[in-house]
Amino acid sequence: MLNILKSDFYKLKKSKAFWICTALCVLFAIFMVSAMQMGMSRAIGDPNNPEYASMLEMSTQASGIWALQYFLPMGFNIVFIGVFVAIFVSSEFGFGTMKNTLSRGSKRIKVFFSKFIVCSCAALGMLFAFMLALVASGAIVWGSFGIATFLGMLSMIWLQALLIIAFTALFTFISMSMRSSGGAIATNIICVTMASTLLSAISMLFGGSINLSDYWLSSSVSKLATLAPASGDVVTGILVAAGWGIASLLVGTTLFKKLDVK
Amino acid sequence: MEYVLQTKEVSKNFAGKMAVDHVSIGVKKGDVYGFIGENGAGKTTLMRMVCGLADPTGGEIELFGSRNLVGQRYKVGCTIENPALYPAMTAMENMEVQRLLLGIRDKKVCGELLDMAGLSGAGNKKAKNFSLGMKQRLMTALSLLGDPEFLVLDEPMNGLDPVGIKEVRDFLQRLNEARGMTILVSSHILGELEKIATRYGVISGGKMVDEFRADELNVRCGKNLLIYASDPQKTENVVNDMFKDTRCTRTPENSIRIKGHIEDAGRINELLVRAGIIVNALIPEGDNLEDYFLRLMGGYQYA
Repeated sequence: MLNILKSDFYKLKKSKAFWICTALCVLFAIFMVSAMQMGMSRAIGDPNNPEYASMLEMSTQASGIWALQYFLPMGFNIVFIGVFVAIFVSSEFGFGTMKNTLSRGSKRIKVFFSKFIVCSCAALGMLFAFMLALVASGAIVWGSFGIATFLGMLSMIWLQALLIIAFTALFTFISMSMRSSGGAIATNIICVTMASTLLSAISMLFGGSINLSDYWLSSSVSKLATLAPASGDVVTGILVAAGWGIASLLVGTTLFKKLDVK
Repeated sequence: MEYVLQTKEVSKNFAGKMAVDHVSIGVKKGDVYGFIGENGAGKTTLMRMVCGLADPTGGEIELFGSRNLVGQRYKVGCTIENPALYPAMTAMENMEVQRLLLGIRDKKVCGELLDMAGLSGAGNKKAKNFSLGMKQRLMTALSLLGDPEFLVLDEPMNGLDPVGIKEVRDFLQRLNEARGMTILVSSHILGELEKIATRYGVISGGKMVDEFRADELNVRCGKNLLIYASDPQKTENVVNDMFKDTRCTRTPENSIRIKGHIEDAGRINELLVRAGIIVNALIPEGDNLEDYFLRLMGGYQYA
């Protein structure tokens, strides 16, 4: 297992997709903060602007930490993580290099978990880079880091990391099963951007007593991107992350063990 | 003789179609086993099953006498179908990925193998910019990492120019002779395979058709010896006296054709000279591997 991990980490270091997606996360964070600042300045400068009041209120709270809590729930970074995992994992099948790993006696379950661990590390790196870029650019633009307790920050980071790992497990399963970069990228993006809407629609079909989208990872990412989450949301978030993560790993390893590799 | 690979009634079914149908082959230690068959005959599917890339739907595979295939596969190097490389990496980086995977501590081994494959000069050139020949050689170098005892190569000469084909052929011959490496190799270039293989297996429509040693090929190919001599009648008499079991025939060009006995050409020449006959030429004729394969497959539709 250690050898497979070493080999996969070496590939990660050499992966252009990883560095490009991480750079895009950082650039996107900077761009969103800058765009928000420009929007605020324009609205505040014109009292007739319909957004004048809301932007004025926002500008009083704006800081690095505020930017983090405002933009993190939108999940842009998760799209980049989905794209990276799809490229990193599926390309092994596209290039045929998965054959080199499996034909030398590596157990399939270990190969799957190695990919998951390496992608999780990369995803966490991308998450931290995104968060850091939001806080830093927010602090630079609005001149304040904002107020946050150490415990509040720690719990937010921990919960977001857990949800990102669950997302990565799902992305790894999808990419390992689809074996085509294009298909895996599309499916991963759909998972991030459209699954919530789809689950809400399904809930409505069945009467709407339970909103299924509440048990989707993106919803928990949104609800837990705060320094003071509700305890119910925290429990739901942990259960949702564990449920989706474990299910993805179980189904993913089972399918991969039966898969013929070309 | 110790078997490196044995398949017993191995089958593979793809959606109701038998790609490999109860195939049994035996590759002995030190063999260069030429695996021959038309496109879609099941060669690659069988090799993929041997290498753990596909599960058989029936039968058994043994590697080095063991059914614990995962445990034995570290002793097997393989190249199945197209060269499987990371296109954005250099030759050395591709080797490094595989070195780390196999847990080989000695970093120098990558350089040595690249040297052996004639790729030490590739430098910072990315694999995507390699010629097909370079890719094939890099794949062979990759499969040699970890000093495997058994190489499985699927069409290693595919798409190579004549120089490239000779390089790969010499490389495989060196590995077999110098390192005693057992090689299972499939190729459509039968003329090249004939130069290195010590045993052959022929597969068609998923079924094993024949398995034989290289020295049996002459017998199976029905090779003849043509004698051009000054006195055909006297020559015929001498040869008939010499080989009671063999019938000589006279060709329209007045040469004498003997069935088989190619290995006796020297002795025949000696006897004819002693009998005062001038021997102008002794020429072996008959099928080569390609002709034999085509005959076995039932005609030239596979040519």
